Amino acid sequence: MSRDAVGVVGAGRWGTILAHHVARGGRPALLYTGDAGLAARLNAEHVHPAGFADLGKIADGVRATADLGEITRACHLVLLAVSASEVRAAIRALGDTLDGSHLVVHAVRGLEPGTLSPPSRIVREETCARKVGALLGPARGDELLAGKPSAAVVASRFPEVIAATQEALADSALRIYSNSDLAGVEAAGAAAGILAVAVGICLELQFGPATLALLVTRGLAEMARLCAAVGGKPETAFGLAGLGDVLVQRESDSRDVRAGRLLAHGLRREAIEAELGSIDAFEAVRTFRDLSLRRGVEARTTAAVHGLLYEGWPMAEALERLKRLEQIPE
Amino acid sequence: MAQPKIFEFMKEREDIVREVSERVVQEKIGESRRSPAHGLEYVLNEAAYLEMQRLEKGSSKLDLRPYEFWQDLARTVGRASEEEKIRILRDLVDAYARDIAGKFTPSVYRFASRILPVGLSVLFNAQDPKNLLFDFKGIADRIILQGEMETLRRLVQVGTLVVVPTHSSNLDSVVVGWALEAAGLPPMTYGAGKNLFTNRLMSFFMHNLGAYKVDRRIRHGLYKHVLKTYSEVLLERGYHSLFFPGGTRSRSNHLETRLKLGLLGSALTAYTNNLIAARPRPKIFICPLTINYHLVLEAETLIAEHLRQDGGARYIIEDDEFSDIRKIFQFAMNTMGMEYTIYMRFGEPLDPFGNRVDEAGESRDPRGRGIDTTRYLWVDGRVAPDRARDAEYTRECGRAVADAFRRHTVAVSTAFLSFTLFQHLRERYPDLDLYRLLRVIRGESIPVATVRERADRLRESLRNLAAAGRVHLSHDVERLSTPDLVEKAVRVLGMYHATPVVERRGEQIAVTHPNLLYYYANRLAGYGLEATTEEPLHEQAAQ
Repeated sequence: MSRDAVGVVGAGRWGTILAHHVARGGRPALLYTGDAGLAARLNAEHVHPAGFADLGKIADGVRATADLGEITRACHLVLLAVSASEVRAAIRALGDTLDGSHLVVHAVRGLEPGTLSPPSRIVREETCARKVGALLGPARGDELLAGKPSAAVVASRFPEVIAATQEALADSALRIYSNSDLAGVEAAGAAAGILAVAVGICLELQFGPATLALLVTRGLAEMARLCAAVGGKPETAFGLAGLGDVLVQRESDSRDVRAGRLLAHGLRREAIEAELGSIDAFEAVRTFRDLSLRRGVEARTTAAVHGLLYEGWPMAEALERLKRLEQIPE
Repeated sequence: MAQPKIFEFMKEREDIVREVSERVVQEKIGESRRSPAHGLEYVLNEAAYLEMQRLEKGSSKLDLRPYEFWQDLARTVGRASEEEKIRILRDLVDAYARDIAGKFTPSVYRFASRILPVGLSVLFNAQDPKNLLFDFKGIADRIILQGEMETLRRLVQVGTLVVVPTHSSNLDSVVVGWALEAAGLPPMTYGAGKNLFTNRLMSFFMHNLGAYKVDRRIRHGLYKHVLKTYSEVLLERGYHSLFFPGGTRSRSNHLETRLKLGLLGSALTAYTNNLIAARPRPKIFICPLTINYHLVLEAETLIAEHLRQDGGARYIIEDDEFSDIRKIFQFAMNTMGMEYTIYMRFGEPLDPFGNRVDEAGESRDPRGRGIDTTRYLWVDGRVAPDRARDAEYTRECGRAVADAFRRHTVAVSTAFLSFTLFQHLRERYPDLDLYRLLRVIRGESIPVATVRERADRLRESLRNLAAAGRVHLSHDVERLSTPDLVEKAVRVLGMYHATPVVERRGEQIAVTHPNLLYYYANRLAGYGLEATTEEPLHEQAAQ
């Protein structure tokens, strides 16, 4: 049986857009949702009930299914587009039908709450699959739909995973760069959200461009240390999954940046999530704070955001602590 | 049980050597035709250059070709025709394959099987000659075998086994040889450093018991290719094998985490070739084995080598305690006569992709679901090799072996006490680097009461780890009261080394050999136990 279709697990906005993008490129896409009713409706109407106004009609080549087995039977490449907190359950279920030939690429920004495990490790812990990758970086749904030039990075230690992902997704508008530093790309992708929250704070407090430059450059240095702490390469922080993601978040006033703005107004975590929905970066803050303490990695920006979110620091205290940092070589 | 495959070795030996030579030559020719960067001239030049570099520092009777041969090759290879290069390549590869190939003599094996337990038992009882008459303790009382022996006995019926032990001492080969037989497993072929063959007695036994020679002084790719191919061919033909994946004895006594993947990778290649050739028993199983000594024969030399600051650490050590028969005898006399045991623990078997394997030889994923491992090797729906992919699988397998080493380590009393004391002293001098610390703590004393209190805490943590299956405890560490455990460990640490590791001085325990204390403590490093005896890391970081 040919397994030419590309499987996408997760029929949220990003998963649906990825499936749509694949199908638009001429490959069939099979979109999994655990909700059989949603699958039936997507197949009948080709419009996502959640709206996604810029998406409009989903490409004909996308078929939805509520049967994970169908995904693994029909697809060699499976993209995983769920939130960090849902990733283990999704992968565990997928593990019932995956085999060693499948290529599993996740598009999950974040590490698992509590265990600090990156999604690729969860794949290893829950399934027999070995050929794993991560698809992260600045590519955004709205730009992808509008055909504006953008880019993402696919990271894997298996060249086959990289080639298959590029073949499925790359087109004249979307460049898919490759990277063998899977650990670094996953860490940078998760940590970018923290820096975006800090950028939101900085913008809302109306600091100047120099402050923003200070925050981003030193925040990236911190991200590089965190990448190294998880076994990745420090320089990966300065690539698409790190710096690239921070830039796009700042320019698009992303949810993470807006969360930072609300934080600057003194809103507590719960209130922010009530307004914006679940923020993966909030969990990432805890994860990286924990990681930095365990490994002795200096991560002052993360510590400050953590203080604001989880330790009840007033904003003035967080700023004061950052201002008091000793003068060090760059 | 059918006669072990290795009993047929001598009948197949010539055929094996021929197959290895032919395969390497054909692969090299194929590579050279696919890519100019792998041309035969490059292959031969690299061999000549690295061999000349090595031989300039000194030659030995173990060398297959003299310096002049390589010098001549380096001068002439550029002008040689393709046929001439192939002829030189074939000659070299054949010479290496013959040098590497071992022997197996069933009569020597039977003799060794009878004599080894007696010999080891005598050594174990040698401290007090009375024991030989009245209280003779068999080797089985001294070497404790644990783990997955039953599974392994089944697996050797359905596939080929690769045992991968931790490596602390040159005695490892001897005790593993005994352990395999005692565990009801067949004898295995194994790679042994060529330098070990210089001892005539050792050479006789190793030559005739299936050992093949690994010349670790030779660094060029062609030799490594022959060596790896030899291992592959043996595995494909169903010869159970033994590798030390750490490559060399652990200098610091840390558990090996960075494993040499070359020979481990031969398991995957052999499995792939078996599938492609549709051989009847294609599966290869990898079995991690930990060897847990209370005292290590060569500890002083190994830790001295590890701590050398002149950058001249040697990969091959030929003048250590193992080369001195008096030292071995002293080791046996001083240590083995006591209530002293070596724990050998067989971990759960793995497939070449790092998955756990059940008793029937089926691979299982972490949730216990069966795996069709042929699918890992599919290229367009068929099993085929892929160098980049397979290298990654082998790295995965290496990680699984390293993880098994950690989980199947048995914490013995000497490591336990050394770790307790070393952590205490590290805290006492938090600002010193390792080298200064080791200088400063010579002669330092710690009150026995403090040691016991810390030992209690450490044992609690170890018990928690053991309950979670992350380590195992020796009988002493598990059952003795803390005062008895500390006393016994102090006694054992004072038994063999010229300078005891620690000494009891009244109500104090004094450190008399800091380097060895560090060496024995290292076996328990990496379990996160430091957090139980140090300030929690996050408090330090927050300050």
